[in-house]
Amino acid sequence: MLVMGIDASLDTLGIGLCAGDDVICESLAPRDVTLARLLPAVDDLLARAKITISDVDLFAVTVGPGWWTSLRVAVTTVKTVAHALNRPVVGVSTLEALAYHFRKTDQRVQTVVDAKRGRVHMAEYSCSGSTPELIVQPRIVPLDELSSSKDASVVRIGSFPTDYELPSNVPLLFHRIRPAFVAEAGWRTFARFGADDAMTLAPDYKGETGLRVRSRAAAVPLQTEVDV
Amino acid sequence: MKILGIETACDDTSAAVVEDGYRVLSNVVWNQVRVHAEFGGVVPELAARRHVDVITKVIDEALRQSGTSYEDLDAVAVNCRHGLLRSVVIGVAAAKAISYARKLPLLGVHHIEGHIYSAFIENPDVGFPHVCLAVAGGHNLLIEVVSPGQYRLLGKTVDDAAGEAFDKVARYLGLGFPGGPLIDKMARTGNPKAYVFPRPMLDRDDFDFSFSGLKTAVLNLVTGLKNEGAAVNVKDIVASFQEAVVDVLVTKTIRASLAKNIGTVTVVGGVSANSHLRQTLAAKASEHGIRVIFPSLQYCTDNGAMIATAGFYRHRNGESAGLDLDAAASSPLGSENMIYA
Repeated sequence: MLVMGIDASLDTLGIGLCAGDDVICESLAPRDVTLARLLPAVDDLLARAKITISDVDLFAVTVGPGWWTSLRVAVTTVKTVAHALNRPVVGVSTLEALAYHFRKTDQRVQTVVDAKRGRVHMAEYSCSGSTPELIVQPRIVPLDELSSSKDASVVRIGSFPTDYELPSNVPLLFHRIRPAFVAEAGWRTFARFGADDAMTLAPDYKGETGLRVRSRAAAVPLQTEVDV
Repeated sequence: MKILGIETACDDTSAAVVEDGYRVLSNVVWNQVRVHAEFGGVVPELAARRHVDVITKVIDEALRQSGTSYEDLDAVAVNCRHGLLRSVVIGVAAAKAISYARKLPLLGVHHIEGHIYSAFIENPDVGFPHVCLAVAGGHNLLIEVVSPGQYRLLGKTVDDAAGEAFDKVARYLGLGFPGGPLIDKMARTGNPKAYVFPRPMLDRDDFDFSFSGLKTAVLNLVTGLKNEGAAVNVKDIVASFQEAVVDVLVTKTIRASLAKNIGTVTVVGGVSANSHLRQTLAAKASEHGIRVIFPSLQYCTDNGAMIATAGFYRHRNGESAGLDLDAAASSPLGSENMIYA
């Protein structure tokens, strides 16, 4: 099964192409103007692999947390391609995709994404198996709590606020999302739980814009608004 | 030839399938008014989120209603210029995805160009040149449409657009959102001569507009009445306010048509739905033998059909966009005497 994984959630734009859990090829670039760069990057990678977009059997995309506009562009692009080609699409958590770096290592990993205004999103995974196992649900943590709760047995990776001192014991690349892991995570999720619905797939903002505003918007029923 | 048009400029998610630039096979609009109503205006982040939530459903519905599938399409057109940036990018991302996946030509359209072509949907014989009054919440322009893709700016608002003035007056009077349709309805039973509001810039020979001072005059009147403890007759106030706006729009539009010696006028954009503007302009135009074209109401507000129609004329000009197409909140319109809208 040919799987394409796309990530534009943090500071890099990544495209990964896998056959199951075998990596075929991937590309990673600094993320900048996601809308203009995403499809040209996809096209370059496919050309390198000498395949076309319609050969892809499954699409995966990181849905957040991360940069809102970039998440929206990636999710909209991927779900629309999937819809236009009638292929399944799977959303992957940014926090889970980061944890894939430590699979099969018996390591406990805390993955972190900057939530701005002195807070971060954080989840914790146990990484003994081929997929990271979630042991602490994603939540928003104040930065000072993060700084004061360092545990030597747990590795911390991800996208940190600039004033946070990065742990010195992990390679810098581990703080980036590897695109092939997005494809693989999508493939494993698809095998276990099936696909997401392209009609409703949306970024996972984790309640980041005033909760009040968001919850009210969510309370408006979707169905009754169609004006045709 | 069948073109899928996608529009996500502000708070409407829309997709349409239009054949040969005028035969509308479907035009689906997912309106967000209920999301934004309680805030009295469009909240950009909420609008962007709702666009992502529903875009695929809207496209799917437009295809279903038109009885077409992706294989039947000949091109994809999208508004990539003008609107709330966070909203515009959603439509562009979707259009590029379809273009890439199905190997279809991609046509990037300016939002206001879409409005200009909304008049062509029901009147493909509009012809060139013609004068277009494009008036909505975010823009207020008089344009000479020279030929497809060539536009000459005659005049524009120096501050607020007319639609914006409608919304703000309605909000100040506590009427609700959006203000245009509410004022239109309420003004029908009010006395338009009850108050004399200023007709901004009517004494000038150019074709520019200004509605900020008029809006302030209404607000000052209401504040004064309240301070005196006098009754505020909302119906008379909105009727008089609307009379002033329509007077300015009609006079300048007729003046432009006569000055340029162009016998056809189109009125497009959200404010072109205003019934008083329609009646007054039609009456004045017939006095001068000018032909006036108003799109029907469904094509006045933002819609995918006008984008598909504008895309049709771009395609006929041999234009298309590449995979690196980006979105912009505002950008020049047309190739001759660029209009910044």
